[in-house]
Amino acid sequence: MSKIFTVMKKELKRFFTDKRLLASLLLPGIMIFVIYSFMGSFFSNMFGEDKDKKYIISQINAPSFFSEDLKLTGLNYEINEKRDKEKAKEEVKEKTSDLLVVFEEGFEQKLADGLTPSVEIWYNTVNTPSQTVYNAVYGLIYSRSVEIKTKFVLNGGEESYDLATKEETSAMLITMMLPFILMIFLFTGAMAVATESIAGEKERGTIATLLVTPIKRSSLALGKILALSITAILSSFVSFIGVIASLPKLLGGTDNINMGMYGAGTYFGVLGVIIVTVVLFTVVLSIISALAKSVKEASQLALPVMFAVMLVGISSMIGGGGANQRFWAYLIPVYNSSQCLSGLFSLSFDPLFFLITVLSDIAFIALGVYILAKIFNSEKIIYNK
Amino acid sequence: MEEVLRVENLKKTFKLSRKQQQSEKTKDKYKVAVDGLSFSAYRGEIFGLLGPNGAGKTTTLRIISTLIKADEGDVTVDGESVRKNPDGVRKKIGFLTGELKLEDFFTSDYLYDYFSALHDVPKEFASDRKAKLFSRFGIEKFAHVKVGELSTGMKQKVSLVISIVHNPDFIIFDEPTNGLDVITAKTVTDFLVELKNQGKTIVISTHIFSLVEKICDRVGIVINGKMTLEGNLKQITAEKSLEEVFFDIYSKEAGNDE
Repeated sequence: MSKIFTVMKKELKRFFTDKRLLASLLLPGIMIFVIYSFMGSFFSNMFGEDKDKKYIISQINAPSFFSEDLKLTGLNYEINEKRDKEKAKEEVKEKTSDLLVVFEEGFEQKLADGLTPSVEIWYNTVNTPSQTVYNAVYGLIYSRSVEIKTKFVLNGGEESYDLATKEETSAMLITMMLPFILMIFLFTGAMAVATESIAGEKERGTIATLLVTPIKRSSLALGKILALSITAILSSFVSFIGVIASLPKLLGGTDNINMGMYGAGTYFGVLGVIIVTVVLFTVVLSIISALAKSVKEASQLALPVMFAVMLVGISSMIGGGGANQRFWAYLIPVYNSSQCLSGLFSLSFDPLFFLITVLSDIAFIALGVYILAKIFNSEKIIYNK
Repeated sequence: MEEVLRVENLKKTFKLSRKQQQSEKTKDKYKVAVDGLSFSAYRGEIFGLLGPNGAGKTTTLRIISTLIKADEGDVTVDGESVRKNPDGVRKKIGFLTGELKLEDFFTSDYLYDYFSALHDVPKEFASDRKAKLFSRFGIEKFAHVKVGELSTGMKQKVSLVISIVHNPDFIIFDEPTNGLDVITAKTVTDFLVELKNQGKTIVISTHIFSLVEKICDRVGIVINGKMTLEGNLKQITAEKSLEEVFFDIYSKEAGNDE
């Protein structure tokens, strides 16, 4: 028994006196807290009500209780009385109105007669305010029907009350999911090859063999990065194809997703973003690998970066189907890639933003190569075993 | 005698990590590895740096081979300064040490070509030289076997050959026979003498007296980062054996330290 404790004590001492192992114990918890907090505030921003936003609600044949009930929601809204249902639906479709509520003619009388009148709530799922106000109003009317113990026929027709086109819905779902998924796959693809490269050579003692040859440090850095990038890009393409193929199933059925709506230009744009992003990831991970004492340490050091990439990926969902329209946002590495992908998939692609993204990423890649060459000249880092 | 290597007043200090302080049982934050070391090596000779572990031999060789930089002093190899033109020095030297490893994944044949290319060796010359060197060391039998599958002796032979792909006139070997079996060790030492006879200059570091006595023309005894004695081996060992000379100096240095 005492030997069990002796072994256990030694193992625990090894763990709790090693700062790196201790950090690896704490890091996941910290990262989970950061990511979930970020995701929470993001979902709250996305689906919660916007106090500053004035929701435009169109109504037809509304009963007297409806305007009273609406006040209970606390939403900031404006009600427009409409007569032409089709015209009002068109406004929701065009996003000039957020919601259309159509009560059956003689709604109150039919209620009094004990009948079950119908209510139609038309909305546009690709318009976030429309989605928000739809949720609020649907709940409100449903509650009212429960309260008066008379069920209404609420959106009971066979048609879809979502006025977004199939293409718009498809683009929104793709825009919300694909940049995030792609960023993760691009990073993990680069991580699989880049973290091992230089730290592995340091660990195995092969880097010094290279450093006594007359090769320029910048050539060595560039040669390594190019080779790693090619491997990572190939891995990314395979991941991209896998994601595209699995996306319809991932998002619950092939009807919602139509990748065929994108033209060759979009795919070339995506390809360009993937290439510069993967090279950028490779450069960053190569620097981490060069700074690390071992492959294990390189993987540990790369973890926080991966979490940061995940956060950036999640941020691409915030647009709810659109991309950041401020030009400076495209100067921020990784974030610019995520926003560019959002723009491309949401069919709101701006060539200028694409150009800024590519050029700024190339500048960061060049800086990374310069730093890596400097690291190869640093005996403290190269002999830091 | 034509001077090929000049080491002048070399100084190198390392910052010790807490772990290193504990393992070396010292509270000093810095360790002087090389302390004003100077010596020269001449064309067509084997110069031996002799000293105990931790004397600063490997650090000196690393500085000469441009892997690390000296805090003070300079090294010139065939007129090229390691400070001013490290790339120029790298072209002129062949460096082999136990810490320089080859990638296990590749074959000796591939690695020879790879390092030849890094050294800008013309392809025809590289091919001829590879055939000669591989034959000299019997590498052709396992030239297409991955390095990871070779024995320690075979790996050392391959490393040796690869360190001189560019036919350098100045060769540095750190502990050339360390960890080798007697047969491979003899192959290596015989080859060093062969290179010397071709007019190459060789600097080795070692703590093995017999190796110095067997192959070196001149010797420098390094203790605590300082060159305590430098001279012709025959003259140094005229009255006493090298081992006796070394321990006389070592006792004095230890006394001085106390």
